[in-house]
Amino acid sequence: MAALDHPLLERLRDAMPNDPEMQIVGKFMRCDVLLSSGDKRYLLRFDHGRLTEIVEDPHPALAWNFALKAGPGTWERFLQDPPPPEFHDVWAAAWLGHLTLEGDIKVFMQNHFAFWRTLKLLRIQAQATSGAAA
Amino acid sequence: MTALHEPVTGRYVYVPHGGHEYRIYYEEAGDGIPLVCLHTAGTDAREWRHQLNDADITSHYRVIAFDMPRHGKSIPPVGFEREEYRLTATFYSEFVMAFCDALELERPVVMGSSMGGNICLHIALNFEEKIRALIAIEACDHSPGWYISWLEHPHVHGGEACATSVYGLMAPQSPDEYRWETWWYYAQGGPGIFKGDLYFYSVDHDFRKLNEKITGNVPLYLMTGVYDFACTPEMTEATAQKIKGAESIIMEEIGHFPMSENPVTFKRYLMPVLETIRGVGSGGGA
Repeated sequence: MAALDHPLLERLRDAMPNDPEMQIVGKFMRCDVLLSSGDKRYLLRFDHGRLTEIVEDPHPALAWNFALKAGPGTWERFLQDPPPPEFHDVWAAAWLGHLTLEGDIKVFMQNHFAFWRTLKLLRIQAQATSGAAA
Repeated sequence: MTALHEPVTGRYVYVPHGGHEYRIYYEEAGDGIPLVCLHTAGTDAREWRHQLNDADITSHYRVIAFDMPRHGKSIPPVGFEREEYRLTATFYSEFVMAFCDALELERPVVMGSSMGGNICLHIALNFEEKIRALIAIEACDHSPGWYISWLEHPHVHGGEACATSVYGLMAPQSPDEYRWETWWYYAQGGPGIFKGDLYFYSVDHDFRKLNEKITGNVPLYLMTGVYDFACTPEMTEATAQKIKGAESIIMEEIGHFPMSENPVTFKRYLMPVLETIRGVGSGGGA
């Protein structure tokens, strides 16, 4: 089972510039996103389809646009391939109470398509790693 | 060299309703029992192309899929620019029946998904004498939460936002090409149309106190995919338990758009239902 952690986010950072789909959908992507998995927190800064900065356990004074907050179990299910029902999509998990979406929802909606691809890449990276470990 | 054509034909028909003559586009294929297919919110009848092309279905059914006004090739009524579009249960159910009357369909089967599934409950309640059977896909008595302003907000790309919001309603097992095709349909809705449809889906459609009023005289099948989080299997099953004679069928490895996201998996569940309706076979489900 893959976990949302710093090494996985670094692989996401490396994958985004090489992803053909991200080159198309990420042209106007610009958002700062807080991801939390239990008590672990990561501030991710996205710009033009790239993950430009990963801040682990960010200072409370650092601002972000929107946040996805969930427990480690939710992220593990989300990162499976195929993910189980209710954990296969951010909307699904938020809708059904497995994940909390907070902050400026307008920015989330403006970046929805590119951020959706970002999370797909996150799952691909998680699976590549878990496959290699097995 | 002979070009490859599908057996599907498209036509326009004028449907009078509420003082308007609606110019309605529909596609059809097959012969037999009329099977009227209703598209989901914010998109159009292209969702039904696989069933229109399926000889196992069209050999016994006249499959007809139409675009609701303001959707696909069915243009809005004159003066649409002066009102905010909000679909209601009354208009929607009456319009489906007006379309059936215009084509002089005799006791059709009505099959719809999402908002097209929810409206089946209203048709069962108010038009049972004119209907042979109802197949309500991804339907339940109350589906709140989708009347969302961001879907028409000028600061948000409407096509991308509407389409990406529904992408996650599909199952990861559904073929990529069909999920992207469904995304494409959603990216093409008119401004505010998806949200206006969702007024019916999430606000005006509150059937919770009406379930018990359905007589059960018309067969009603409620079919829902396990990856649907707008209308979960639990929501469908709870509704079916309250409606006399209703049968719920839960579909594995499929989501909110069975007919367009995974026609092969959907067919496994649909064919027994269609066979039962035409008097062969013994029940729904795969």
